[in-house]
Amino acid sequence: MSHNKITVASQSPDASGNVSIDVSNMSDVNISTPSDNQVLQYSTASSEWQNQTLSLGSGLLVLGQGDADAYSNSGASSMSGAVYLYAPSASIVNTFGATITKYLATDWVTSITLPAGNYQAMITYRVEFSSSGYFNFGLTNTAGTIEYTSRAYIGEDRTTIDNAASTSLGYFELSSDTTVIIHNDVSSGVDTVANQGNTPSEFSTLMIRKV
Amino acid sequence: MSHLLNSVNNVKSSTDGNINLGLSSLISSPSNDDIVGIDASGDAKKLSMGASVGTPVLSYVTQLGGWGGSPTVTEGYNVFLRGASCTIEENATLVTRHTIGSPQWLSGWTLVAGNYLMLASWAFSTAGGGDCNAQFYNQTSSSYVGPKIHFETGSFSNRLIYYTSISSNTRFEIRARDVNSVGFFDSTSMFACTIQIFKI
Repeated sequence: MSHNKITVASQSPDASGNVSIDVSNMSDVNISTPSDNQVLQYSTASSEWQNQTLSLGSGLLVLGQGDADAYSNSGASSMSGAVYLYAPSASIVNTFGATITKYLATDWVTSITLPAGNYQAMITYRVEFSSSGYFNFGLTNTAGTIEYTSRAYIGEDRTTIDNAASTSLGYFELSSDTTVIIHNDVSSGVDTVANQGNTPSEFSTLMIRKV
Repeated sequence: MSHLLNSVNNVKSSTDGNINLGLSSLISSPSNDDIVGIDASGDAKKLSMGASVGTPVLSYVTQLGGWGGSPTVTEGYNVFLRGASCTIEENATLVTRHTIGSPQWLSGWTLVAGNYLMLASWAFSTAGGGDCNAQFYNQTSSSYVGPKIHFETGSFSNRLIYYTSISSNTRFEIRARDVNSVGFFDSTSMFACTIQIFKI
C-alpha cells in the first residue's frame, strides 16, 4: 500500500504509523556540533537554519571619553541650544552605523544621525559657571523640540535644580533615520564659550545602546 | 487513506513518497540572521536578532552600614567600597575583584582581554566644602582613563561611562583627582556608589 512508502523529512512511520521528527531532520536545518543555549539562525547565503551562539555587543555608540580640548574650538557661539561633545576618532565606539557630524576639521561632534531603531541613551555633561547657577541638557531633535531623553540639571544652584537628576536618560523609537543633538534650553550663570576651557570635553559623555 | 498524507504544512510528497519538510514551512520568508522562536500561541515565529547589551561581568551595589572610617580624600586616592553584605553579581571567568582586609573592601578589579563598557555612579561627601573629581584608573599602565566626574556643593553629573578594549589582563580602579579640600568618603556617599561592567 502506498502509505508504507510515505516518509516525512525522510523519517519513516513506526509500527503504529507515527512519524517522529526532530528539528535536525528538517530539510533546511543544518546543525553542526550543537552546544547549550545556541539558537537556530537563518542564512540567506545557504538558505539554511544553522545553529549559532548568539552574538552580543553589536549596538553601542560612545562619544566623549575624557580627551581634552578647549570648547572654544567647537564652533559653538553660545552655551545654549545645541551643545557639543569632543570625540577624537580613535575614542569613538560606533557599532550600529550612526553618522557622526563634526565641526569643520575638529573632533567636536555637533550632531548624530541614528538609523531607524529602538535606543536607550545616557548623557553626562559639565560646563563651567561664572556664578552659582544651573544648566540643563538632554537628547533632542535638531530643533530642540522633541525630547528623546530626560533633561538633566547640573550646577550649584540647588534651589532651582531641586532634586533633578544630573544624568540624562531615555528610551526612544525611531521609524526612520533621525538626526539628534545634545540640547540646552534653560541655564543661569553659565560662563562664556571662551571661558569653558577643557571642561566640556573632559567631563561629558554620550552613550547610546540599540535595543 | 494514503492520499491524506500527501502533504504536511503544504509541502507535498515527492515521487519517492518523502515529504521533504523544512523548518521554513513553519515560518514565512525568513531574512538573513533571523532566529526562530515562538509566539504567544506557541507557534514558530521568526525573530530579528535585535540588539544586545553585552555580557554582564560585574555588578557591585553597596549596602549601608558597617562603615567606621573617615579617610580624607587626597590626590590620587584609590577609593574603595565596603565589601561585606553588598549585592555582587560577577562572571568570575572575566573579572577578578581585588579586596582589602577582612571586610573585603573593594579596591579594584582585573578584567581579561576583551571589549568592555564600564559604568559607575559615584559620590563624595562635600559637606565640609571643597571639590574634587574622580576618574577610572588603569593600574596596569598607571594612567587615568575615560571621562571625569565632578563633586562640589550642588549637583553635577556623577556617572562614569567608559569603553575600553584591552588585549591582556588589566587592573582598573576609581581614583579621586584635582582634590581641593574635599571632605571625606562617608557612609552616606558610599551607599550611593555602584559599578556595572559589561563585556561587549
